[in-house]
Amino acid sequence: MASPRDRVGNEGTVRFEALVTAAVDGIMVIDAGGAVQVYNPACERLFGYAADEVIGHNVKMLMPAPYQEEHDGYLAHYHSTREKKIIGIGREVLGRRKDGSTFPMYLSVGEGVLNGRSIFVGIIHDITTQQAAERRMRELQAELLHVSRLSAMGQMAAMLAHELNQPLTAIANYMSAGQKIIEKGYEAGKERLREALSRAGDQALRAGLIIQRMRGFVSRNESEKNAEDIKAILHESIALALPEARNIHVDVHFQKKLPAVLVDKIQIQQVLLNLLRNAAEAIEGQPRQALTIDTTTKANMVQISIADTGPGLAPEVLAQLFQPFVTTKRNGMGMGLSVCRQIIEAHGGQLWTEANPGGGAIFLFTVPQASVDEDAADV
Amino acid sequence: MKSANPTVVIIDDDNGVRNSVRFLLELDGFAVEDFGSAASFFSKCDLENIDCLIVDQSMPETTGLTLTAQLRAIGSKLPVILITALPDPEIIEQARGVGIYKVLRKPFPDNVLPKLILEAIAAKP
Repeated sequence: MASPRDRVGNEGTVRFEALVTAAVDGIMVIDAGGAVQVYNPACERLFGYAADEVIGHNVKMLMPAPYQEEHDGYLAHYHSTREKKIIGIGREVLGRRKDGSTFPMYLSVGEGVLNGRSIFVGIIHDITTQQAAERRMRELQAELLHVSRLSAMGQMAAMLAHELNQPLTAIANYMSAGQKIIEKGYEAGKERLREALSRAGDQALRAGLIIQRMRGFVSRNESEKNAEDIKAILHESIALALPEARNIHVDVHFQKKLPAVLVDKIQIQQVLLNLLRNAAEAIEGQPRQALTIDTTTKANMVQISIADTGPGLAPEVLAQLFQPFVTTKRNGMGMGLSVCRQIIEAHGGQLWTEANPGGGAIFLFTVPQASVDEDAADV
Repeated sequence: MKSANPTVVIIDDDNGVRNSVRFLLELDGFAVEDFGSAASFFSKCDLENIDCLIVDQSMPETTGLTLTAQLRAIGSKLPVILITALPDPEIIEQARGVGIYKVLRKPFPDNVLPKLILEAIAAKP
């Protein structure tokens, strides 16, 4: 005959089992050595292993490398130091399914005692969809940024077309007039011709002023400089400029303790996008397709270099590389590098090129450190 | 029609374009009047005494298309040449709708304009 205490105990067991079975989140109990004691149906759905494949085995089978190798160490560390790294807190970790694939999950771990022995209870919440949504959001934001930049270029192109066409139209007219004067040899021809030429010259100067104003507009417009992490800007730009589908080997080297830089993030991203896209185009079809990105500090500046393994820059291209409206691209406007240099110079930095000793081109630029007096902040 | 000395009007808000068109056309013996806005054109110009109108599409207050539509609305059959930096298909389509003789891209090649004016005047209904 069961004692009242046993009855309560049985009821407790029944309730516990009902709870564990019905739970939407994965619930798991492991012993002090890591062997799985409880593994509910939600866990079976999450990991793809049936309960009998897991119970009694070490929980590390559900973890991808490097956690798999390190988990025994974590447990031993906790038992000897009682230092809590995840217990009572919980954090985002990766789980490993039976088929070897991984998924992001939020794991919270509690410690308890069962039959006089220490146990750990883990609750596993699958955050695959949540993370996918966040990633999609980031992609959308990046895309938006890119589109707004493109449309700014489009607007500028339209503005240029309209503004420059006025003096060009006038110049063409004065030139037609001049030709006509010469052909027909009018009386007073010389005076009229002089006038036509002088007016055409004025209009050409006016066209030059329009371009000057335009370049100023590009580098000044909405410029807002903040202390930024150049690493983060670089990573975002690389992700934008070089979609994963492209089979390009990208090496990124960051100097340790890289200080924050004082820049307009959007503008520097624009520069990086330009340089990275150019580099990616340069190595297209080359036997070795690699980009090497280096960051170093020099005086009060941070220097970023992008080296490609493309064909390098021909001397005639090099001579007018940073001129506006000079392009080697079929559909290019020839604004990219000229605008890039404007942006960097407006930041107090420099943009230049060097030949890559191993073949190809290197584009380098510098931007100022955010605070040069303080110790370099590890951002 | 004053075939010997046709009178041409140029309407463009840009001084450089206006003056150069005037300079060019006067060399060929056209009598030229110029206006910097649609408003000054309508208030000062005697429509009866002109043979051809050259008008810029993109002006601060109005467009060449709108101005031409206004002309047609008051019964004028004046030949009109529309000049524009960006003659996209939409503009060309609308220009046809209001009976514009020709849409000319700015800048225009050597001596196209005087020839076009004479053609437009000759084709006047």
